[in-house]
Amino acid sequence: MHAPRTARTAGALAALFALSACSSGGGASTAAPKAVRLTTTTPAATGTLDSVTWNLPMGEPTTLDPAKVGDYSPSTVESNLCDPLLRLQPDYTLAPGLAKAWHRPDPKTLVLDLRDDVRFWNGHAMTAKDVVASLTRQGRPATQSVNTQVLATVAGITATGEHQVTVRFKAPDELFLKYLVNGFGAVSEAAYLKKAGAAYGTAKGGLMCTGPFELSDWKPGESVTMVRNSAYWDASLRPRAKKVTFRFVTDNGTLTSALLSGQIDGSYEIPATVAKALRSSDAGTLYHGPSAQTVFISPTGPSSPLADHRVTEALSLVLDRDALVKNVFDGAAQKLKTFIPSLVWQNGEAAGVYAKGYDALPAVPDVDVARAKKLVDRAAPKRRTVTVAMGAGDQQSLQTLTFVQAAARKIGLKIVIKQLQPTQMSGLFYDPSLREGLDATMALGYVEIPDPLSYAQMFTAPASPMNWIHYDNKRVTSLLARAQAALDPKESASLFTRAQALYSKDLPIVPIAAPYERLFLNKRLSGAPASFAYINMPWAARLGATGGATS
Amino acid sequence: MIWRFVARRTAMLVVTALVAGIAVYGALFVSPGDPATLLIGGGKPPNPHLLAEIHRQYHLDDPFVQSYWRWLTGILHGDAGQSLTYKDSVAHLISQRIGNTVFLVGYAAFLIIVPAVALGSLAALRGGVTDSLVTVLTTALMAVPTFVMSVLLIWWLSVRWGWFPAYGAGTGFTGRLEHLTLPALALAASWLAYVTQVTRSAVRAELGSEHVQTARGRGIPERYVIRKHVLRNASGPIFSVSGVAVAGLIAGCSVVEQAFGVNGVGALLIQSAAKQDLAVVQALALITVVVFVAVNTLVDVVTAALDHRVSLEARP
Repeated sequence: MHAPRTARTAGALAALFALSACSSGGGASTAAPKAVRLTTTTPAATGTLDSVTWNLPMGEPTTLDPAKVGDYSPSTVESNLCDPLLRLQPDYTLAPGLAKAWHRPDPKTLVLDLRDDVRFWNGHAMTAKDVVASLTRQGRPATQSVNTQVLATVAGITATGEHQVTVRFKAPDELFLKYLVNGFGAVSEAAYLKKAGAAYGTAKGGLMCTGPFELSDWKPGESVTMVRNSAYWDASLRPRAKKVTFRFVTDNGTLTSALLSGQIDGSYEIPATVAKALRSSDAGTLYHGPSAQTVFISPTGPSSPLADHRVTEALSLVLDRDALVKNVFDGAAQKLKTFIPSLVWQNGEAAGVYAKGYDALPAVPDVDVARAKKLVDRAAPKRRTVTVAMGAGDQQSLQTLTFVQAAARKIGLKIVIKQLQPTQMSGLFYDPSLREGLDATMALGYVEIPDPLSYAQMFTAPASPMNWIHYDNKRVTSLLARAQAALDPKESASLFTRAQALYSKDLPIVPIAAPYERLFLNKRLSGAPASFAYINMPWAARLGATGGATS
Repeated sequence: MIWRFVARRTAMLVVTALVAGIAVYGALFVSPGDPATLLIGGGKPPNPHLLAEIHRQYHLDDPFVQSYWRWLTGILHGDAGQSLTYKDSVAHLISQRIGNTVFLVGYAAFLIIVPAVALGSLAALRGGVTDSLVTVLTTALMAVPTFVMSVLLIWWLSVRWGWFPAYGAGTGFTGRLEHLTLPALALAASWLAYVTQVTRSAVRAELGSEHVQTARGRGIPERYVIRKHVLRNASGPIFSVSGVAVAGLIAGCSVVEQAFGVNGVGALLIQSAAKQDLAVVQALALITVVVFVAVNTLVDVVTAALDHRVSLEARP
């Protein structure tokens, strides 16, 4: 098959192109990466814009149905179209959204008070009926919602007033409320949902939501266009851009030239190779923001040499993370003690408790080959060859793994890098047969909601489909379950950090780095948040012109 | 005679399409990976129930024969099926994109044939410095792979000078002309060199042939000799290599469409193959086979018409 080979060539070529762009475009070229300055938001916009062209570097969304959205491209678009009940802020904290207030009369009941001034794009008023329909449809298999696990603890969702919804739980669940910030909590019009059926959220079926932008056109393969909703209920977020057109340029070389020449105005998730070329450009500004993403290596089965915690620890000990961050991530990443980035909790109500727990974790180790060697000898893995899977054509993973490979050689481990085609790579998360012959995989993950709990459960719960090494620590499982049932944020945080201290000690995962969010904005625009929170907030509503005039 | 030839070619086309169809379908069928999992990635834990539901809706667990039969009977009824990733009918997906690809291939064909025939003839007729210059230029051009050409063109003509857009297909005739110039140039470059060289040697061969020398010896004016004898007789090989070039463009447009972000069927083929979107790949493979064979058939017929020494019957 030749298609995959082309994809790979394109990737390699893009890297080459970006490098050449860097050296010839910069004039007084600054080859060494400067210290990265983090910013949560970009300077506020002053003027209106007629039209913005935005890129989705991960490709075209397959759907915009909020119930099915859970990936970079679809979330980037959908978060501007469909308002959720709660809103995520740039600093990853919660704020009211379509629900203006909420309270718990008892631990198993959550009452949401809805705004009464919200209208859908078609002018119809939003009522409790729409909220109930949007939430409950995600429990039906035919909807194919990616959020069914959120409903696991729910006993019933009912309208208890024209603008009030009551959720009853089988057991107290503090995560449910936090899931209301993403596609799970997004509200669509009940009547439209019924009419569109399975086509809801596709190019043909369209959407009916209340967001600051309205989906106006979706030409498959070409573009998705949204126009502003000038009657948006949140007056502070009425968009300054009349029209935003999304493009799907996945080729790094093409993306670089389109951004440099101003044909595309901006993009989140700028790849490192593209960032190198953009850094010195006067076409616009490259921003770095705090992020909830991490890159880590995780063993794929109990027979993997990496399933032994001592081997992963040894690998961690020989990895020069400073050099890695500088060379692979162009300085735009940080070392982390665990696989859950601190942005997830650092501005929340229980930040102090989480911070104390994080500080108590063992420090990110400095390179210590002698100690690493001893650990490997003590662990004495049956095999010293470790096959690590990554997505074909992903430059960042390939460079990272090449680093790991060189480091591992020093302690007698041979890392074999296996590049998998897209369907094979995504399939290994579901199908054990696709993990055969592999020992580990390089993963880039992100935590969508402002709570580390669900992410930790994914790797530690015995029943979790991501717990490939059959990790089973009764105390961890029980602490995390209690943390989920604890409705007091500080108590939940404290239970979580106790579990974290335990699983960090024996869970064989190698955290590599937490990459920062990378945003590029053409000089004619500003205002978009630079933090990873964009993934679940109406970021485009803040976008506007820098000059003040309409351009 | 011509109808027997066409009938035989049509029968061959059907067999080729069937074999190609089974081969492509089978290759994607046995390749590891599950296309359904690509639809539900991201920051969520994997959900096996969701996967099962998608498998059920799209019949992904059916055995090979059954699923191929479903596809084949569908296509015979004019239904190319549903795309798994786009959740849209394959016919609609392709009909929206094929215009861009046809325009691109047509534009590139024009950029190949017109300058190549002119340059090749010029080189052969003028000789000397012109000939050397054309030969050096085309040899160099032939050595540059399409994807390198794409990068160079984008860098110089789009980013540095801003003459042409760097990506996309544009709308309307002028929009497309503007957007597709760089991709067409990238696509045409190496074929342009090839056709120029074939033209040059064909014209050269005719110039040195006995009947041209005889014509010249009989005092027929040079302009008439070149038009009636040289160019006319050289047109057979030129036309035939141009046909090969156009058929080659159809295969080559995938790379260029991907590099320039052109929303055509070539880029669709690459994306769908990576995502194992069977119905789309299958339909595009079928179209490619049919167009490829049709172009070659047309070339054979026209070549035979141009040059009566070539017999259609002698060809397989």
